Amino acid sequence: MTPQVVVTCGVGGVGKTTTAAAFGVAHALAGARVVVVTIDPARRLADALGVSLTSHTPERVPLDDPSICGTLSAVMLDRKAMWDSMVRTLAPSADAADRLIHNRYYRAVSTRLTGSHEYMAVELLHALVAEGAWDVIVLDTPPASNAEEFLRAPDRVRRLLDRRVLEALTGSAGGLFGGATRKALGLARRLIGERVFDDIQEFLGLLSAISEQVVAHNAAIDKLLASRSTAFYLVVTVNHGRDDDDARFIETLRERGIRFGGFVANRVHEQPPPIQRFDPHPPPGVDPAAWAQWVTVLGALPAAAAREAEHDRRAAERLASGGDSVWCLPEVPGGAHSVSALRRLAERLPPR
Amino acid sequence: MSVFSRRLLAVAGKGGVGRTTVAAALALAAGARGRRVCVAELYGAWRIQHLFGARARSYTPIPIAPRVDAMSLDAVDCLDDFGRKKLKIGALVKALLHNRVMGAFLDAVPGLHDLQQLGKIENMLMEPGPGEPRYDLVVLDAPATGHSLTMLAGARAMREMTVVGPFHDLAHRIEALLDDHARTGLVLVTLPEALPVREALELVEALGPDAPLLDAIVVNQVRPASVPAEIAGVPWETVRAALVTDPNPDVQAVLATADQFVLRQHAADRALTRLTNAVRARHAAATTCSLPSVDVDQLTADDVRALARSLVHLGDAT
Repeated sequence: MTPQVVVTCGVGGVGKTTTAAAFGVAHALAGARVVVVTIDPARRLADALGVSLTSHTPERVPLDDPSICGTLSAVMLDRKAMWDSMVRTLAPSADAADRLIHNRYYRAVSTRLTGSHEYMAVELLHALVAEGAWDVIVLDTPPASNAEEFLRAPDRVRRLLDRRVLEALTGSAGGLFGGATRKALGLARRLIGERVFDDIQEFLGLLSAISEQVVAHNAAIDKLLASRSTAFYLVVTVNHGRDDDDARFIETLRERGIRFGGFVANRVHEQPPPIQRFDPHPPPGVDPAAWAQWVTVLGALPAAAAREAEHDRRAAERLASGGDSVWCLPEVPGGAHSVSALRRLAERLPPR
Repeated sequence: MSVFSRRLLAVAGKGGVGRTTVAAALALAAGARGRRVCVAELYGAWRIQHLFGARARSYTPIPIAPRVDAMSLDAVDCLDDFGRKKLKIGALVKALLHNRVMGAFLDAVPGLHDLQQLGKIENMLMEPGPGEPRYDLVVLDAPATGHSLTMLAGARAMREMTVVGPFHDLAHRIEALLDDHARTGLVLVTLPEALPVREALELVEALGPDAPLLDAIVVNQVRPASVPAEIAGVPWETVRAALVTDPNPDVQAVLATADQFVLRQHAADRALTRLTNAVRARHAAATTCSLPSVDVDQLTADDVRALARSLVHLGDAT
């Protein structure tokens, strides 16, 4: 059976990793075997979950609650290990894989390529699906200045791995390419410097050996992302509002046939209970004038809390204005850094 | 030494802390002190230009106050510029980028986009061409932390990778600028809330000896405590102890709300104390300053001008 895939996207600092962990807890509560893939070396989260996240194989998170019948595991993306594993999977022979992996340009360039982080995140997702050991896979995405980067970045690497591009760049296309490309190559060589250009060219030459497998593999990944069992969520802080970047992100998802699960708004303040009468009596020994001042200050708090909550509610409404779902997670003072705090957030996430 | 005597101020901080607003306010403050300033946004962002009335993004700096300009950089504009000025192949660069093969290639070269944008800033400061504005200071709205360190470290990686060539020289010049603690300073923006402060602390701890010198921590959006520590000599603890035994459920509800505010405040205070201590231990010359809360939903140019007035004396000896 195809596992359910949940992808949390968003800009940095909005609580993406926490949201991914909360999704993990939510599905474990519902009885699923869940793995959460984290990208950020979010030490606090790892500590809270009681895992070290140092190896690139999933580690079981101790849930300490017999009522939870599912399991939760976590794994941290290791880009280098992932590139190696992809090359080993796709190379026509072990020899070819070794030649590539031990090439010094491969070692220097592969993990530094722009988009490499995002590309490998999707790769790991695919590998976990293939394992067949998971009911739900939650993928946290790398920090980005804009959420769409997660969808665009792998394309950069893919375009580079395109056979025609590779052949042109490595000069193996013979006379197939026109003067324009040859001229462009000459320019790029001058611009970047011969040494680095030649390094990248050699790396690409080695990579072209697995180019066809990469293309087929990418088609499988696209199919997985566009499947009904995959949903992308956009994580935001509630005061951020709905902006053009969000609209573009949602539009890009639609173009690619990827299901948008909705917004997850973090750190939302909740409406305090209504107050009828606040007239506490001063305790003995307290100056009545000081007490009266305290009563005024404290009496104003529910209204202040209500204003915050109202502000957040309106912001959530604006997020929903495009007809998308908005899942509001309450603010957890000090951050959600324990399984029980994550459980509180999990209760607010979409049901399975 | 005042932060405003630098040539480059990189303003860093997590998304949503008001980094762009603080960068704009710092630029206005520097301008008010008589310096010729440009505030630069990256990756095609033009929020500052928009806030000060621009209808479209402009790569060419546009004035937003006396002596203060704002510009919006992006990698393609910068690469084009670089091609024209350094390689005399200007017209060809855009053709290069539109070539399918080269586009794919240049897009994937690690750190190229960051390098081009930082390179433009270095060039503006160090060798402005004839007819180009001359700036004393560039205030850089750096990408969200995590990425900003990568961006600043990217110049080194590019220099090591390239060995020779125009990009190597460019990387070398950027690195020299960033490593020069007399010319370049870092301003870190955070919010008075536990999570953003902890993230700022992680950045402070991650700053190596080669990173730009930390000049200032700006705590943005500071408001007075909702539950003060004491009123007229009566501490909150005394009041709380009296309220706990009150049988009125409404009193208990108010108490619960107050506890929430106090919990939030304490978590933020603890984190801020840790941050201040870490800054004092590692970056003795850095100052910390607070900015008052403004309504971010309706931020205006006037708000930014007001914040600038709070920053005019940042880092001056008291």
